[in-house]
Amino acid sequence: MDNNTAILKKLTSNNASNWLTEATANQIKTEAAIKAMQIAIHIGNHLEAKGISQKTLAAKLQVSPQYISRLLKGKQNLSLETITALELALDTSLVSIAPVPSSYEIAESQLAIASENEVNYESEKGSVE
Amino acid sequence: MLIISGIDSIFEAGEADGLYAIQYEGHSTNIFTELLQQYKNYDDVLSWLKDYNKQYQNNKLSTFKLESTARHIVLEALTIERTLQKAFTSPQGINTTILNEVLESFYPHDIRAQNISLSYWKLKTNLSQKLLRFYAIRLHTQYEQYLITGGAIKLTMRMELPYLQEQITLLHNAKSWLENQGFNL
Repeated sequence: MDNNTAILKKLTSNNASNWLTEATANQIKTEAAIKAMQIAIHIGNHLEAKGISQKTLAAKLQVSPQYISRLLKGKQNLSLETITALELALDTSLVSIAPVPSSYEIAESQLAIASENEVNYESEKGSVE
Repeated sequence: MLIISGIDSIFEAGEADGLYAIQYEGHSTNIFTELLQQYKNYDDVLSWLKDYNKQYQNNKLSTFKLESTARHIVLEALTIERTLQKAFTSPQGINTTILNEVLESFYPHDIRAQNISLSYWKLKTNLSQKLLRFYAIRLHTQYEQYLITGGAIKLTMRMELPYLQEQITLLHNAKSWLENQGFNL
C-alpha cells in the first residue's frame, strides 16, 4: 500500500459513512421519488404551456390546491385513479405501461417452456438408463 | 470559513479505490451526505433558489423557472443517489473502475484560468439538464480515489459568482489540509 492510501485508510478507519447502507435500504423509496418527480415535472410543464393555474387543476380534479402543491413538489403518493384523472384533465400521458403480450407471443413462450421440460425429461430418462 | 475536522468514507471499492467526503467542523455529517439530503428536498432547494434570485439580480430566474428548476434539481439529486447505489450494490460485485465511470472530469475553464493544479470532478447522471455539482480532488493517479470537498447548484456557465468561488477555496483548503496530513499531491 502506498503512502497516500495508507494515510487515507488511517484517517477514515473510524469514519465510515452509512450513506450506502441507507441508500440501499431506501432503494424503493428513491425509485418512487424519482417517478413522482418526473410526473411533477411533466405536470408543471403542461400547466405552464397551457396557462392553467394550480387552482384550476385542483377544481377540475376536485382536490384541494394543497394536494396539487404537494404533487408538484413530488411529495404526493399517486394512485392509478389519480394518474388517470390527471392524464384526462391535461390531455397527456404521464405513465406508460409495457404492452400486453399478444396471444401468439404467449403461445410461443408456453411452447418454449414445454420443449424445455421435454428436454429435461429426456435427459433424466437417459441418466436412469 | 469552514474548518475541516476529518474525512468520511462514503464507500470503498477494491484495494484502494473509493469515494470520500470532507467532514467540516460543526456539521453533523460529511459534506456529500449533507448536500445530497438538501438537494433531495424540494422546499430546501426552492428556498435556496429564492435567496439566489435576491442576491444575484443579473442572473435571476423567472417565478415559473424557480419551481421548475427546483424540480429538476431534486430529480438530479435522486438520480445521483440511484446511480451510486446501483453501481456499488450490483450483483456482479464492485468494479474497481466504477468510480471512473460515475465521476467525470470536466473541462476546467475556470480552474485552468487560475492556474490551479487540482483535479476537478463532477458526478455523472444521464439527465440532459445538469445543475448539480459535487467538487472533488482526485487523491491518486493510479487508483480511483476521490475526496468530495463541497458542492453547489450551478446555474451559470462560469464559476465567477461568489458562492462558486467559495467552492474553489474549499478545494484549495482541502489540498493544504491533505498535505499537512502527509499526502503527496
